[in-house]
Amino acid sequence: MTNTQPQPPTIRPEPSALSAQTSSATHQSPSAATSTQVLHNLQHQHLWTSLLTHTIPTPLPSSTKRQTQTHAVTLVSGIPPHRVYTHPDEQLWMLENGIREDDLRPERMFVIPTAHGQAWSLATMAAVFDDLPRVAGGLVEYGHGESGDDEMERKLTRYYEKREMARESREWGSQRLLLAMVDRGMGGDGTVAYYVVQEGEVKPRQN
Amino acid sequence: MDSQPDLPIPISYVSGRYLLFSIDAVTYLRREHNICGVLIGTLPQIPQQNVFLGLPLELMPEEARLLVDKGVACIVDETKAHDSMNTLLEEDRRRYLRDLEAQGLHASRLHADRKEQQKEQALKNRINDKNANPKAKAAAGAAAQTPEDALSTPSKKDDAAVVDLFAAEDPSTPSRDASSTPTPSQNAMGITPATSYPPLSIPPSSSHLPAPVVPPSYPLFAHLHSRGYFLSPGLRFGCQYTAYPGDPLRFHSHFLVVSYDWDENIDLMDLIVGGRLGTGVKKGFLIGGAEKTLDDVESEADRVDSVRTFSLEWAGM
Repeated sequence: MTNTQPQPPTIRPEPSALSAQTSSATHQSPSAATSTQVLHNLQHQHLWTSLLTHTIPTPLPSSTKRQTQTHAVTLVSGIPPHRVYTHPDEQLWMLENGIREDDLRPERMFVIPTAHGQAWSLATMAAVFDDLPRVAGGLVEYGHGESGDDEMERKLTRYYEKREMARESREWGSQRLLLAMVDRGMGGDGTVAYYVVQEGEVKPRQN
Repeated sequence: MDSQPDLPIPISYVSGRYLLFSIDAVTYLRREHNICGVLIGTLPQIPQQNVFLGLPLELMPEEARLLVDKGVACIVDETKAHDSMNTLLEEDRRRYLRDLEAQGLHASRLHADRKEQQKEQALKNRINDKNANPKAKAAAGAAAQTPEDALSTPSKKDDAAVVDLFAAEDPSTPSRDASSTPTPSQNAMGITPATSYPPLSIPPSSSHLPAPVVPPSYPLFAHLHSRGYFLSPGLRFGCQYTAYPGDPLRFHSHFLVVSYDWDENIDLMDLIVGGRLGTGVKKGFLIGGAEKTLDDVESEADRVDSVRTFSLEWAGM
């Protein structure tokens, strides 16, 4: 049975602010759109500041070592309002030395934006971690100590010395990133899930 | 308890499983090589009793392979080894049985001695109580009786009681001595030996099976093991291995471990699922694999050096 009556034209709602931004800010690849969405989420939902993007080449999971195809991943970095991750041993040291997390200067954190269904592999992960020092060079330390308290200044100086040692010995964990995943199926619900990824075996937090 | 079995330890290969039947080997591997395995022995009549299991110990192929590669163990085909068992000479067999009976006698003697000691201790306590009580009563009622009477009469009685008690016990002592003489006695305790070597002789190295075939996750297994982690099967936590930072009896596990091939496509949802599950049970989710394939290097051992791992935890935001 056919309907002879002319259909009324479908009325589409106005695109959301995010969709508008994504479509205007992205030009080329779907992965760049993901990065834009994650950046938007970090900026407006989690109130990160000083956001930057960095492009690094990674191998595609399907490619073998003989014929490596690379594709660019756009990392996002920014400064969170609160510390995202504290290693359990670091936490213990801070507790023993009377330092609270809020006393520390905020630090730049790197985020890998991914979308549900995107191809991913250990090789990709390793490539991102291998390239991180190059991208992060000069950006690691940021912020300013605001307390005029001498006692606290001394404590913080000791903390930063200790952390420099821990960075070399890797006792407080090594390089870390946030893995952000966006749901694209069914249009998604705007949720971005964040997971801390660290290189090597880093013992879990006692939460 | 610090006995070291003869190396290499024979691992019995029975219908696709790697089993250990010697308690010496089991404790030694756990103590010195961080290999726990899984105890699977239960009571034949009550197999539903599966809370406390005993020998034999089943090893994962990875565990067996690791031990063989280290030269600590060898694989023995149990079917073939079984045939050669009846070559155990009649003389050896009898000597072994005599040995077992001697052990049983020794055990029952120790048991009897301990009982005896407990009895004597109990009697002494009772006598002391008797001595103490009349004195206390006498002191309380000193006004009614002369001191000599009060003290002398009960003590005499007690002395008699002591002599009587020891006299009553005397006949039992010779009988115990008689039981410890080498005459075959019915009260030798039955010994169930928990070791297989001896009585069996170690099979010759020519009869050993080749190193076990391992799943692709072996490099990651060996890598974590070399870092001092104890690994156990991960089914109960929904992963491949559970990694403990020390003996599982002393520590909670740190990681849920899943291995991937270097170029294998990982479903990102699996990372979220694993990370979420790990955080829910206060563990990290660990993924990893060897960068080099078997084509690149000569042996599995070289692949182990190229393993890279990543730990995931929920960021809480």
